[in-house]
Amino acid sequence: MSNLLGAGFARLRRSKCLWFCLAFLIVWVIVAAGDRQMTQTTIGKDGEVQKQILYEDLEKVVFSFLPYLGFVVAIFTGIYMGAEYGEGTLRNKLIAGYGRGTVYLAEAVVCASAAAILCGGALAVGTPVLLLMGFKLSVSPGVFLGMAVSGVLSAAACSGIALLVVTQIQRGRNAMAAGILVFFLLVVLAAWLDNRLEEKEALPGGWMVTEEGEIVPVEAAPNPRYVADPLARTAMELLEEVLPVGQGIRISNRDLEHMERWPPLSLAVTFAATGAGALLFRKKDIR
Amino acid sequence: MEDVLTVSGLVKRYRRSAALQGVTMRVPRGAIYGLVGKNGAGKTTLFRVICGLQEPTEGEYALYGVPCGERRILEARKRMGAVVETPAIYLDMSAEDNLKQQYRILGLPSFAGIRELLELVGLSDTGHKKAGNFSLGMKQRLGIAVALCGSPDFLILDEPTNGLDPQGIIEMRELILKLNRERQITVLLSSHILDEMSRVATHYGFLDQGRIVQEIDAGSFQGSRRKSVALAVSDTEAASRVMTECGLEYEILSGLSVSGRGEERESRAQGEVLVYGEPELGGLILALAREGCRVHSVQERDESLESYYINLVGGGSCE
Repeated sequence: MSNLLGAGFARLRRSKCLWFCLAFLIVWVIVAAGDRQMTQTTIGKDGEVQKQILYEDLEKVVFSFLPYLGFVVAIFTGIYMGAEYGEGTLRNKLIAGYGRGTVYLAEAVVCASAAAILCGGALAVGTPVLLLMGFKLSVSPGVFLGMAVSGVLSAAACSGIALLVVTQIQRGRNAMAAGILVFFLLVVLAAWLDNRLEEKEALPGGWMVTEEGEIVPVEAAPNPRYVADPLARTAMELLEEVLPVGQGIRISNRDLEHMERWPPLSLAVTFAATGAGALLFRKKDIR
Repeated sequence: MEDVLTVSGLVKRYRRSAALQGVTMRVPRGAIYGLVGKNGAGKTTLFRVICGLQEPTEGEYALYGVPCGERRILEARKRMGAVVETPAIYLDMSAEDNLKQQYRILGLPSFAGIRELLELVGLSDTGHKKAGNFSLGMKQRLGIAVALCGSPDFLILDEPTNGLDPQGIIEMRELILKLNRERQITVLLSSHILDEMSRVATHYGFLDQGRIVQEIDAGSFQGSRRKSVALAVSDTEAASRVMTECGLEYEILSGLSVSGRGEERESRAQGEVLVYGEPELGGLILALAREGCRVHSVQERDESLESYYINLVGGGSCE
């Protein structure tokens, strides 16, 4: 196993795809930072023009890529594992006398590490850059660290899911396409769950203009989209938190309720996906 | 002689088809075992199963006496190297880096021996050139070098001459013979160039429709293949008539249409006729002369591997 890990990390270090994906995420953070700082111009009584730059909170900017990290991880995993399949180098490991489980586990560790490098690297570079640009944290360093740890572990969970999908399809491009499609579905599901859970219990009252031009008051009414059933609400919350993409949405929205349970949930997803993948890989016919 | 590989009743079924239908064979230590079969006969599937890339549906095989169902088969597999279908190399790495990567996979303590391996396969001067930019022959040779990492004593080569130019084919033949003779590596190979295979193989296995129809060593093969006589004739049509009348088994190898001289402007085909067995040549040449067919040369030949195979499995192109 250690030999396979050594070989995997040696290949990872030279992987152009990994460094390109990391550069893409760092550029994302910097572009997001540029997009979320505004210049406020005020003119004083004496006609003096004052310009002030308004910054969004740092953690909101630096974690903005998290909901979409799954796509980047799927692309990387598709290319990395696609090469193993397509160039036939996976065969070398099996012919060299390693068991299927060992080979899969080694690939899972390498891919999870790559996902962690992508997320951690983007945060590690993006945070000081944003601080230098003048962005400030609105949460304590401890909470920020917790968000970062959750983000990195959710990236590892994304990698577990991506590897599970990619190893079922031996053609590189198809595997990558399938991985992206799965994460697209996960983003849609997580966004839908998040929207439903964010629905207000009641629609606010207000005023309405009738066809005759008359202004009439409108009373507050219960919101039919609000999930009132406590069991359903808990289940939906848990499902959103189980999905690594859902955690990404929550972190980027700074909706940090139950944050303490995200790391163990991410680890559980990673182990479950890796276990399922290893089981399927055990019986897979390799070409 | 101890067997490196024994295969017994091996069956591999896919959802819609059966690629192997009870293959039984044995590869003795030190042999160059040539697996001969048409496209789709099951050669690559057999190699995949032996290499542990696919599970057999039924039957079993043993490597160095270790049955495939036992955990120890993984240890036994460490003694083999293989190039199955395409060379398994990282296209974005140089030849040297590919070998380093395989050394890491095998857990070898140092990179010593890489230069020697590159020289052995004739890739020592490729420098930093990426394997993706190699010619097909260079990729094949790099694939073999990767398979040779860890000094295996059993090598599986699936169509190693595929896509090689004539010079590359000769070099590959010499490499296989060198590995077998100098390093005592047992080789199991398949090739669709049967003439080429017959120059290196010490044993043959004829695979047809997922079954081994015959296993034979090179010595027995030499003894069992039919003798034949190749006649270069001026008119293959006339030769064909004469052979049929004489009740001889023959084969027209080539025919080239030419025009007759003078008043006889009819079209004739000169070419080569292969007559099996040991015909009475004097009578045959006279009979041909009576039909106006001249014999330019006579050459005694042994039956080719391809002809032997086709005779064995009953027609169809051999690959």
